[in-house]
Amino acid sequence: MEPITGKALILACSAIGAGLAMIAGIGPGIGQGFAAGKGAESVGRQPEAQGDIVRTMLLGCAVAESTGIYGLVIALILLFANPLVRLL
Amino acid sequence: MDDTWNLQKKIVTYTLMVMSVIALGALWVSEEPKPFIYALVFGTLIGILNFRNLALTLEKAVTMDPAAAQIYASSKYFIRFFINAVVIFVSIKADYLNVLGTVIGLFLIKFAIVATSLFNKSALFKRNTEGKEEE
Repeated sequence: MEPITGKALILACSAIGAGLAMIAGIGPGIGQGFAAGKGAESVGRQPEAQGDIVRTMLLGCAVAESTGIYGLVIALILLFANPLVRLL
Repeated sequence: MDDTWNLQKKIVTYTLMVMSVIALGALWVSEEPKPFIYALVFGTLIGILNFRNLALTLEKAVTMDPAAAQIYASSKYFIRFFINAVVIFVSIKADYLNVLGTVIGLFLIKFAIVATSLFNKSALFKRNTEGKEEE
């Protein structure tokens, strides 16, 4: 059996790390869906406040999305531009 | 007209202004500014389009049934997530685009939102005192 090289170990661990980082993308999706559902309920209860509800939701959802993109950036850098391989 | 059109215009204007300032700064500081500026413009434009898509999604979602709105908003989020993934992947693979510039461009609209709405002290003060005046 061939011994595991340092590069292979780093690439394997990076792939696991990228997979773990992608989990961060699920949270904002669930959260945004939940917010949209509650927003729809609120508009049903108070239709005249639709403008305020959508404006508040827009700002909140846009900022909440950024955490998912953080994870995505980390995952893609680990997969396609891994800085750790160059350290060997 | 859309409920959020004025807000969108304001946020996009601030984002473009901040992008111009960062691009001019890169032009001033860096010796090879082209990849960074191209990537910054690319990332910012995609960020603005994603923001517009989010606004359209939410405007439609609030008129739907709550259970359908949840599924609709989540599925649209994952489409935007995939678009972001493609954009970052392209900027990693292309030599003429700087990855950092693209990532900064994608986040610029979020920074603009935080800077204009959450740190707007006069609006916060007005919101806090509105209820008390009525009492």
